[in-house]
Amino acid sequence: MNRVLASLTFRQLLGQRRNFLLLLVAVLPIGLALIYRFTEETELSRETGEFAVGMADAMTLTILLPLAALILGSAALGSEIEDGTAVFLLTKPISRWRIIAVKIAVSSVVATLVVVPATMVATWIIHHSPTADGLMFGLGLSTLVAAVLYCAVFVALSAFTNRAIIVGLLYVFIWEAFATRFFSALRWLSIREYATGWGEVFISSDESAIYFDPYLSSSASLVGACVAFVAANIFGARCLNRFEIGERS
Amino acid sequence: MNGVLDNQSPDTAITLRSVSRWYGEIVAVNDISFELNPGVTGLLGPNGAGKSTLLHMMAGLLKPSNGEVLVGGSSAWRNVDLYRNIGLVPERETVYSFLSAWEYVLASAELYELQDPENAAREAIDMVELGDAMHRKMGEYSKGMRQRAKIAAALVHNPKILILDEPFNGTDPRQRLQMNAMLKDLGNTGRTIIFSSHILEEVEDLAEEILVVVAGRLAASGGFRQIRRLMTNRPHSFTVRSSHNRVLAAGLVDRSDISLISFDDDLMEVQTTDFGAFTEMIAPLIQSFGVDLYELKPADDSLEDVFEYLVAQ
Repeated sequence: MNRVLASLTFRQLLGQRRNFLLLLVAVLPIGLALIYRFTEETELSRETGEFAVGMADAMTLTILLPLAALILGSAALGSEIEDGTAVFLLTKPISRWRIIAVKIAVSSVVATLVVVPATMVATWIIHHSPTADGLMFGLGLSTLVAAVLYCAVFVALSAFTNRAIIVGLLYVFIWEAFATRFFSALRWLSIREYATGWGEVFISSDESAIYFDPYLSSSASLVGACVAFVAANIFGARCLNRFEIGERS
Repeated sequence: MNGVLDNQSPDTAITLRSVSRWYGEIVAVNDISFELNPGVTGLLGPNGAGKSTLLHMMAGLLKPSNGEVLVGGSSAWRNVDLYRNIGLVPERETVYSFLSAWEYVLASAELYELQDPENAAREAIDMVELGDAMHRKMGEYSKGMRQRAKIAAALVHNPKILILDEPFNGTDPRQRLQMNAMLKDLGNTGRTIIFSSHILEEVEDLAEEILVVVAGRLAASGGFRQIRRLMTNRPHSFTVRSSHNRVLAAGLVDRSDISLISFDDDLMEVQTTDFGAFTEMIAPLIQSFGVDLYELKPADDSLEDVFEYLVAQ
């Protein structure tokens, strides 16, 4: 990985005004978990597990994390293309796939740092335990996988179109939040499902099986996630390779 | 010598062969061929003539719709290795405002994978005389300072070819002189430098060779004197207001260098094909006819008019 490229991208991401939205993504699950903890009398049980999994699935993996990844992914490359600073990188002897890979890596790291600890802490608060049923680590792993995949897709999308935010929002709300929930066959093409499936690595007790039942097996999720990740990298690199100055900047 | 394609010299750095570029139905560059050799070449033309499009194709950032652009004998398009030998200074203020000039130029040196990036960055910054302000964030810079930071970043790897799009934009007269001297020095050390401008005097000061582009076409090419002669020898118009315009017209009409005389109320327009001869003879002629002259002024030809004339030729 190119250190200079990564450092430039990292500083670019930190300088974004939209970053306060990332703070919201980190704070919201913890806030809801605290409210749940202080309003519900329930101790460690099936109900707390159900609530933690439901919140991670319906809120974090479906809405908050994709939105955070969209902000980061589009800022990592899309804004550089729009304001013309991308020319600085594109006129250096660096292969396009490397530029895309670094952009994906840096935005994934930032998204992971924002979302994964928040998800794990929220799960701990709700479920009363950091280890019970493997829930905290399972959901942590799911959000990590989802962070990487969403960032990969949205960086690639930024290389493809200057309307990455709009297309990304349509993808999140129509595909991930609606289509893949109501048409089960489409779940094979869902980042949320790939990410949830990875959770099974840690969440596999008999008790947790009642409230954690991913549609895809962990091996199917592994294959799906790898294919999606590689495809996003290749697609992004191809788009950047065909990028012409002036067409979008 | 630079100019339209003839037999390519072994020193040729950039070659364009029948290059066209269109955006939808708009033709930005239309069937242009030339080659560039070491030295400073000016790309002169009015705004929207296709200069930036040409430079971007030379820098491998635009694909020609037709024809080919060769840099060092290889196609420029999608050729990442090209950038080891090319430095590009784009017209847009494409800098990271959160970086200082030092960080920007050093990042450039490191991305070129230079052996001693810090030393290279220091030399490039000294070359553009930005040393005093190099640790300030570029977001606080004037346009001219940002321009110099961009040039330093493009020069840091000591490229054989330097492509500059309107490099004098935003620079003050002192910076302009300094940049002129720097680019001339670089040109004299065997580098191929091409820069665009829509201002004749900028090109005149710096370029050994000039390519004139108008409406996407190569209107003229050659040394500055050739281009200047073409521009000077074009028909010039004068408006005249005198006590007896028609008497004056009678004295002018037989002269071979007068191509047109027309009247509009109390004004007379005279067009001459020989600017020098006309300005020398007009005063004695007026005196000899005993006419009172109230006004004699050259029509303000815009640079666009001059370019259009060149295209028509």
